[in-house]
Amino acid sequence: MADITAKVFRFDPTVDRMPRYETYRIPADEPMTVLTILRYIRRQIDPTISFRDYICYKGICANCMVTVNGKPVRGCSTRINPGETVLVEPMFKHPIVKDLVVDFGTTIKSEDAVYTIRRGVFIEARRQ
Amino acid sequence: MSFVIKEVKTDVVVVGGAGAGCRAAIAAADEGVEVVLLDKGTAGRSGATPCALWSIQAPFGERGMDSRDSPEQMFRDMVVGGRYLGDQNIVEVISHTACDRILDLESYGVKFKKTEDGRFYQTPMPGQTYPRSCFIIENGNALSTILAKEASQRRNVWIRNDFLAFHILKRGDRAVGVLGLDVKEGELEAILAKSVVLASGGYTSIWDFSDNPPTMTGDAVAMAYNAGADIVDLEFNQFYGTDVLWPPSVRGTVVLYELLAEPFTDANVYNSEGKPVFPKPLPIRDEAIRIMYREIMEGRGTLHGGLWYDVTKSPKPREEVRRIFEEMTPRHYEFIKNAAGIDLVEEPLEVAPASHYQCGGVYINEKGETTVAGLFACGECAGNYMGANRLAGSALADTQTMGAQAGRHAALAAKKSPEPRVSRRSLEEEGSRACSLFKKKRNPISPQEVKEQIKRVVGRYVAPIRDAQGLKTALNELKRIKSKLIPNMAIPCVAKYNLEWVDALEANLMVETAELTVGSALFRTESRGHHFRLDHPETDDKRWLKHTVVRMKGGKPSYFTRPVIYTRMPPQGA
Repeated sequence: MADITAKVFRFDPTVDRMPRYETYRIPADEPMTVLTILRYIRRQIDPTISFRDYICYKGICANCMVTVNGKPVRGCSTRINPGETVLVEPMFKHPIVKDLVVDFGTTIKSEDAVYTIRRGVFIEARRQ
Repeated sequence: MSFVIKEVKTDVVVVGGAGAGCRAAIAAADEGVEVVLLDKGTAGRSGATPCALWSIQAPFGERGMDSRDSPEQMFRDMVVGGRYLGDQNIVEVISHTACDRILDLESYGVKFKKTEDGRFYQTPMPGQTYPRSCFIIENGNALSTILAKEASQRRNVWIRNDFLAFHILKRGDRAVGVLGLDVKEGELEAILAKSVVLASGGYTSIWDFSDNPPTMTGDAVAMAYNAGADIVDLEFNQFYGTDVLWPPSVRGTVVLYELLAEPFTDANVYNSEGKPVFPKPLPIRDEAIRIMYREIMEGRGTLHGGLWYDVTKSPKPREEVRRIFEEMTPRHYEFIKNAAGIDLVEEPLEVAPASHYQCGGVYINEKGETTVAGLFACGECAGNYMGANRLAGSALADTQTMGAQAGRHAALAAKKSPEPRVSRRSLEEEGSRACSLFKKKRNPISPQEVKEQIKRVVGRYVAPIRDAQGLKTALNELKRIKSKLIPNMAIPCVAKYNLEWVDALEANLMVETAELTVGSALFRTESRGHHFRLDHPETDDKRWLKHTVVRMKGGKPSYFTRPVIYTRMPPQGA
């Protein structure tokens, strides 16, 4: 068994002035996906960590997009091997809500689908 | 802890942003009223619809694959498939409007497989007299994202993502909106509305092993029950046989049972002794599930409690087998390869029956009205039209037909309704309950742990084969969780995107839904469709051609029966 080391971007705009990176060690004897690593951290180490968990877990919905070692990937289908160190960051192009959660705005781009939901159009139209 | 509850007013609020919710929002908006659509994830990208495969059934007849097919034939197939427990006033709406709703989908931009001369390509599925399942290109995922886009393009629809509704607001006997948590901001918010439409899907994720996303916690059933609505037929829990059990990264991914048939891979599922478990030709789904369940229970399962889905022993050449998976379920095949490093054409996979769909839910009529004024329901969270069993391809068809129906009637009702108002006191009562989770507890317990315990109980005792003893044990366990654990849930003091807060609010609803499900399964002392009682294995048409209904009475669930509505096809001999 060799640990997976995960360096994870943490930032709560309501209390933090600056983002920070936390390092977690996850015991692993077989490869884990980025999402199972994040779930392990929340369950066993730090319940305050935020990431998008309302997702399909089947490689379809693209709501779990995060930046892993500098590359945008689907967290649910990206494997990390035991012994590896992985850097997990949010999708920086979008406004950060907290930690790894960003406001997709709600435009989500993945290789197979692009769609946009205009947010707040209705309420703004009313305010004018 | 102090808190503020924001208030927003609208005409119609829709809870749930997948197939049924988006369709209801579109239908309501087209009547000219203002609509707020709530989703606890991202509309169009959450719920069960994106995980659905290609199949949506509609009787296109001459415009499809078989000119003999008709709405009347679909009606009959659904009634027979549901073992005469579907209310026929609703089945009529579904079968007679399915084609129109699919044409709507086409006009929104959903693409369907067509023949060269422009007819709908349809595949035959078990229970359909003629091939009736239209083929959605890019599956349920395309359907739900395109519907969400279509809804968002209407000026009078406001989509709120990351919004967890957990309580239905009432004034007198009338539903006047929902109270929820804006997860992104960590704020409570009341959406006051003249009509409330529940479309937040089934409760598959109260089982510990499900092939649905973890979001399907049965919020609608528990919320409607707490609001005093009738809940119906919760004991008809559909399982799917061959879902991946191990490794954890791909747990709950569907590998198609149907692809084991002779025309496809002609393969089988094997027990730990290396023996194939299915006879050929393959048995129908619910029978297959019981075969698998028995193999596992009798100790012939794998280390993790599953069986081997093994296509390597297929008599067909490996390249042909690979092509079948690449053509029929490319996404799932790729996902298992990427997330687990397993090429299922080359090695066997551990599979087991998983919770798949819920036939029961909130009691509705043909307009989607529940038994509470101002409250509507549609899609998987609504209950009494599937009966005891669901045909393949009808889940998506229902989201569109009854979604449109409920949305439209919610809007029409809203036009006649007074401005929604709610007493500030009742709002604050509910709000302080949601905020009491932040208080220090003497024996704090993590909401994640509570959820896991609920799931374990339901998974173990509300299985494909159940009996009174197990169900009674489950009921006691759930009562213990409700009285000992739920009040001690503690969460960290974080406002924004606090997943623990979400888990705790969901756990409240889950334990309620679980208790009602167990109670309903205990109440029906016969076996029918997806409800199989070991202690009552026979189907009892004399006593049980009825709905199981549960309603809150004096703070407790009370169970009774309600006759099935037969409009034109009464059961023979009854």
